[in-house]
Amino acid sequence: DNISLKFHSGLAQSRPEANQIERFASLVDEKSGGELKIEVYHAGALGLKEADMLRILQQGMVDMALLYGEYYTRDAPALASVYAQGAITEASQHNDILDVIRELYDEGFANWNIHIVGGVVAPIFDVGLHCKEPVNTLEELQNKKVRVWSRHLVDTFDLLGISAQVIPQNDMYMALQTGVVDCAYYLSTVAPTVSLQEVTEYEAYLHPWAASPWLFGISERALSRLNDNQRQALEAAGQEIWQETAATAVDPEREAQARQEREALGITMLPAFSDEDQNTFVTAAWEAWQAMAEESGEEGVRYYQTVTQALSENH
Amino acid sequence: MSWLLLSGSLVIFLTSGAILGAALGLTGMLLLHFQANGATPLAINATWNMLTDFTLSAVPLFIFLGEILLASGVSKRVYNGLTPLFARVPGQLLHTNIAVCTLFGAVSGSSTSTAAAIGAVGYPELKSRGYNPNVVVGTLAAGGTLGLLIPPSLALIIYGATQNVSIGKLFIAGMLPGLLIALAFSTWIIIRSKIGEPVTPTFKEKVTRSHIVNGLKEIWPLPVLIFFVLGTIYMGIATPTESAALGVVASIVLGLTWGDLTFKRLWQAFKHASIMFTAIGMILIGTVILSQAVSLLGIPRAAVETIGNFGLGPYGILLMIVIVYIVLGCFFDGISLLLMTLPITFPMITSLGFDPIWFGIIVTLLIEIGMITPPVGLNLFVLSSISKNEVDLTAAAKASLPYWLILLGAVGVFTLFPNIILWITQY
Amino acid sequence: MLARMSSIIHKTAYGAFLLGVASGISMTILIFVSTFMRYLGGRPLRFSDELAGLLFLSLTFLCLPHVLNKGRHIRIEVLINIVPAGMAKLMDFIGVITLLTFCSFFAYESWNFMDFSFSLNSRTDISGILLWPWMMIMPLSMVLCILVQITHGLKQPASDVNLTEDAI
Ligand code: NA
Ligand code: NA
Repeated sequence: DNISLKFHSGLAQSRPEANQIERFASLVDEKSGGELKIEVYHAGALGLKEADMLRILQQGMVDMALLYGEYYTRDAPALASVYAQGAITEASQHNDILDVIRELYDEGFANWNIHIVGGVVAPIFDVGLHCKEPVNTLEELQNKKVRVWSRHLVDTFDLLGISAQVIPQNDMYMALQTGVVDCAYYLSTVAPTVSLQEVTEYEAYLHPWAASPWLFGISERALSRLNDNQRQALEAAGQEIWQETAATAVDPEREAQARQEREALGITMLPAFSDEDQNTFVTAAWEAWQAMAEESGEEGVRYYQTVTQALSENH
Repeated sequence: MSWLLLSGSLVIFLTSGAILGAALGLTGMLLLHFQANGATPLAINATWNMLTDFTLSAVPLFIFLGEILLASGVSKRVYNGLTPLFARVPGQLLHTNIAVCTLFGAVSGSSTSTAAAIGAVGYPELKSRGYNPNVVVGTLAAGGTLGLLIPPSLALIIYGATQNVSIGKLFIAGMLPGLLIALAFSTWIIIRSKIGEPVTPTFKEKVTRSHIVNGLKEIWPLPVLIFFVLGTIYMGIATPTESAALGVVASIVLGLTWGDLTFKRLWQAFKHASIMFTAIGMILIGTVILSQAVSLLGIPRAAVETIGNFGLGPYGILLMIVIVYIVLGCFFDGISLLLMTLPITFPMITSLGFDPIWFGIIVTLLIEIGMITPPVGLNLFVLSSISKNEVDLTAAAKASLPYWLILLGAVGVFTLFPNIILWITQY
Repeated sequence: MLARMSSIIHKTAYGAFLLGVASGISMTILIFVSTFMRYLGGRPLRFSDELAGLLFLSLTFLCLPHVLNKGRHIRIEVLINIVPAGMAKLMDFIGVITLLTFCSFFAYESWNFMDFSFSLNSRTDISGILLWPWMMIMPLSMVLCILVQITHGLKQPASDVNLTEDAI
């Protein structure tokens, strides 16, 4: 029997990761001999919110979704403790611990009746401070208001005595334009997709993005409807995308080119934050990460310890 | 089948005169239950997400603001002050609705907030001065739509971010169309006040210059409030939601010092405003459940995809897309409609050679049209509630029809002359 | 006895309404103070946006039963006003059933929503506010709406524009 599965993705179609989901869908189609179709709904077109996805998949109200460990702090705070910003200081470190993270996520999502069939290893983009005025030291950030995207980052900046607040991506443009915040902590590589160059003039590199992989999750309810051929096609396609994207996740050339493009758009590239500042930031980030893990309970602490241990061993 | 259940239950529930929010919500729940494998729990998720949204909380705040100005007599004095100035213009104070909405639209990103903010003050003041209530509601419902087109605009930000189009260019491109539409609204007010039964009060005594000057002395609270609500946004002190709260506090201070506000009246104002907002809130619950059901079923996507299979030329496809937006606009509003349809309509339209910036403005216009298209038209609900149902939904829809046609006409004009939108982006 | 029951229900609805108004006022004060703090102290209150959102929800749901009781909800009355009396009665009946069905479904599902969050000990992302007590407002409000409608029998409450509670 031919089956069609609905796939939710909250990412805008303009993000590079979105193409990978489309490729996954066509691979599944191909490998299953047309027996299994994946209908991808980008940009939250199914009307679902990320914070609800665990509950939604657990009950099988949608078949598949693009999952991201940091989104579910309300229902599964431990999952957010697997990986955190500031975890890595060199993009290449990410490859070393990718398998460790993946294993923890597979296990964590399984608690929600969600089976992971591969995913997209996010490109390790540059993360930087995008400001209206030239800022490239933590000292200069002291009297600035910073937009961040998670609780962990608020806590990290808090430890550094810097006032940060979470502002959703859709409100970021206005918040910068009107001056509600002076700087945005953001993925520099994709900053032009949200027109950040129109509201900030300066950029300074801080660290590589500790990107939790985007995982393809399928609800047990949907999985149980599939025959062996369909399951194998799904797993094989997911694995293929995972391996391909893992191979290209770290790409200094891509980052350099993207940096040039941003300069062409009129952004002034400042020298990166100093090594000393980067170390100070990372120390604060780890401290906030540990606190977050402890607050979320035993499972979170175990995730934190497993990942930080793996990181230390690879140092 | 989904369409049948959707239209069938809507017809039965809505014509029965059931509470609108319950009718829409129940339709959504039935769709979720029968068509989406029993996904009724999503009704709660959707409601929770909407009613805990910080941005949307601006709507009750603006209604508080309006009620407090009313209870303190501040708005009465300001409108009294403005009356002589507009006495000789056909349509009189009706123009203030459009003018203030335009001004407000220049700082607010949302159509509902604009309608709530201006309506809560404008409706009772104009009605008590003998203006035809239906006509007042029409101008306010229409004026509210300017909130979404005149930048900043939530619709344009979401369009820009999801489709990778420059938000700055969209904002610049939206300015002239927004102002032209405001002008067209005012022109219609002039025409309307010269034909048919009178809609404005008539003046017996002659208006002299000293009337005007004395009047202008009474309107100084207006710039003060404009500073608190609009100025704070531009100066970066506050977001639109925060500015609404600043406006409430400013209006309390103004009312207690300059107006006749007492703590007893203030408490009353909060109570009245809460009732008005709750009536709107019930409909918000209904619409969000219905939207959730329809987007989960992928109905909008299916509708747009069908068009692609008709084998029409570029303008034929555009026309069909416009029609689909108008039909969907009967059931949905604003941002949810945008998110549900753009992933399909954007690539379709741009692959036909239409300009992405141009389509951003057109689609925002179409979304605005939906805000005043019954049965589900958020601006109509807001104003009907503000009028305490003196102007019911049917009357509000009827009164908005001329403006609905103007907006639709604007879509036609901007399609024939895309440079009205695009010329400025070339600099 | 019945009269007494309805009086208790109406008073409870009114009490919930007053709490709702208080939530709205608290929301206003909270947003104001938080804006002020950021402007003066350069430091926003970290819990303010989330708490404001929860107060917004409380405002809406706590006021619903009273607004129902006073017939202030928006309805499309164009048809019911022009059809013969017998027909109008039937339509009104359908309207009541629609409301009761909606409220029952909503009460049931929102109870589950709350119960599940209770079992997870769910909290808000940034400020860690415990969520289930706020979620509980939804089913309670819906049950109260059902009770209010029952006191009006099989007729939708008539619109009461000149509210009598102005005394308090
Ligand atoms: Na606007
Ligand atoms: Na509509």
